[in-house]
Amino acid sequence: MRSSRDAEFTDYVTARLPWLRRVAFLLCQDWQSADDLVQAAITRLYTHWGRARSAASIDAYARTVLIRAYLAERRSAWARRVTLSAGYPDLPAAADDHESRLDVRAALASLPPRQRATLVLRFYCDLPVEETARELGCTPGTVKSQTAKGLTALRRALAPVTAEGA
Amino acid sequence: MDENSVRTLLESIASAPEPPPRVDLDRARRRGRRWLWARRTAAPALTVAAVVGTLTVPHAFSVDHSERTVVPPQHTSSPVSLTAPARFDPLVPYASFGWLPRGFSEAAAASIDYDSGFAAASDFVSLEAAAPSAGHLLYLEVSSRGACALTAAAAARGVRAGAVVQVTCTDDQFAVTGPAPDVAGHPAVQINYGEGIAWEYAPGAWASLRADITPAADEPHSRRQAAQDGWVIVARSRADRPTGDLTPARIRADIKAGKLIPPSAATQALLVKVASQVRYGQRTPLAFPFRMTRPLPAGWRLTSTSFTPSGGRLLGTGVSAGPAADRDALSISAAIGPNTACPFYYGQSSYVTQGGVRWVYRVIDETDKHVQSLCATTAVDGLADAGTSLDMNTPGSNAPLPGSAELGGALGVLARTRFLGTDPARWTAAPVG
Repeated sequence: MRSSRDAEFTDYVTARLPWLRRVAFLLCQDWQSADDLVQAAITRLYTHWGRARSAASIDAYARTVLIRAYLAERRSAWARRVTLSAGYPDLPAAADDHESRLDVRAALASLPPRQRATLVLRFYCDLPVEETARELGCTPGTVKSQTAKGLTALRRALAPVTAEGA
Repeated sequence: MDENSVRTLLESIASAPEPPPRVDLDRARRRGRRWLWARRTAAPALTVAAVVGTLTVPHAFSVDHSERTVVPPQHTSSPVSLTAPARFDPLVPYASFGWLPRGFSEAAAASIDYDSGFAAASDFVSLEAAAPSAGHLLYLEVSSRGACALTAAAAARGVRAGAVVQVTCTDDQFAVTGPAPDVAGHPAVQINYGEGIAWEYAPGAWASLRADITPAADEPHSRRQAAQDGWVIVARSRADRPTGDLTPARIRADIKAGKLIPPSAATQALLVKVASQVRYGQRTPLAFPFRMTRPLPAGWRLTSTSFTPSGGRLLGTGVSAGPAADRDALSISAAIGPNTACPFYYGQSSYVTQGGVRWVYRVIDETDKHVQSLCATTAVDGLADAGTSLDMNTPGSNAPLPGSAELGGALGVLARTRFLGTDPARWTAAPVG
């Protein structure tokens, strides 16, 4: 029989797995890395489940764990090495995406991890500046500047695609 | 690019069809327990890295290529010579699958727990089918005449020259990367290095069909299985990550190195068979569980719909409408199913009660953007996820969007919207006006 801790944890993760994966996918830009990240995050969540379930919002707690695991991983030597060598991680794996999605993913992938995390928190998770700052452990001013830089970079990267040979 | 566009872009990425999860809860619990145990026994040097980087063992899979016939809501034969309209009616999806391999169904795709691809607009129809046990998906997108910037001659020239031709349609983009057998006598090309095919189903009108394979096929044994099954597989392991842009030369090198498995003749044949039996000129209208009783403002029109196939019916789940400056300014949605939670944003959200239902009323009022939305916290007349959203400003400007004030904002739309219960027999083919 599962302990109550395990049961609660399993119920929560089962219910929220699609959401966690989508946020992770936006951060990592490929499903394999996204699932690795979610795996790491839910393992950490399990170890802190007592604190998580008494938090005002388990979702917010889980999201913070996910974001911090992501940023920690990006700082690792492996991630830096991959970033240097991979212009567009996982491009050939994107058989499920339309080309337009590929363009956006490529543009997102080109952003530094913190800028990407800022855009995801602000515009996908719809967090206000102050809450985004708390999640990222920085000041609201930094969030604003990272947002502006991220938007500028996306704008630059997403130049209109022109059909050839048409 | 404004903030709203970024939201839309992120949503579009996040709502992309997702492969089956490789996340392993048991493993997370086991490792978490070990970590807790180690912490309790005062192992001071354990770090987060101890729990990072787990992978689950993927499942091998196979595809049943035997046939079955899909019975669409209404049959019309695929004409040899067809004139495609320049504009589709979003309330009447123009195309449907005519045949699917055994194990595939549209209903299975609709039941997968993410945004499905059933949509109709004035310039495209997108449909999908899934074989969930194998994790396979098929995507069909049929564009209206003139919606794709491609001619058969240009495609043929590109194929002959071994060039990659980038094609932009109003709702679709793909790269022509090689030849493909004709589809019911219509010229066809391979797209996206074997992801699928595109064909000119009528003069100046193109459709595309793509196959998606579970990334469980990363693993060598699954790749071999996939190759035996005749499916397109692209290598995904970290070691195989590309180091530069994909070019025809790079693709050929990757195929030679075994990192990329090109489409087999069986894959091509299967895609061509599905494509050959797509039915055009369908006339089955969608049935919607809601109706906005007032007409759209002058200059607005209904621009797109979402729907789900169920029991031989096409059940509408949402509509979008707007003027040319903001084609999706207004959206209304409701569906059969369990209600999901409404997010509540402090500083933006409040509660309103209407028709005995509590709604989260959210107003995003920022520079260049003023959006009002309503989300039902419980079922409305038995329907889940009822809601509406309305842009009050022209996106990217502070100018009021003509017509939005006339609608009375999101609350005005809600006041004029009737929800019709869960019996599709009571639903309407005219959800607006």
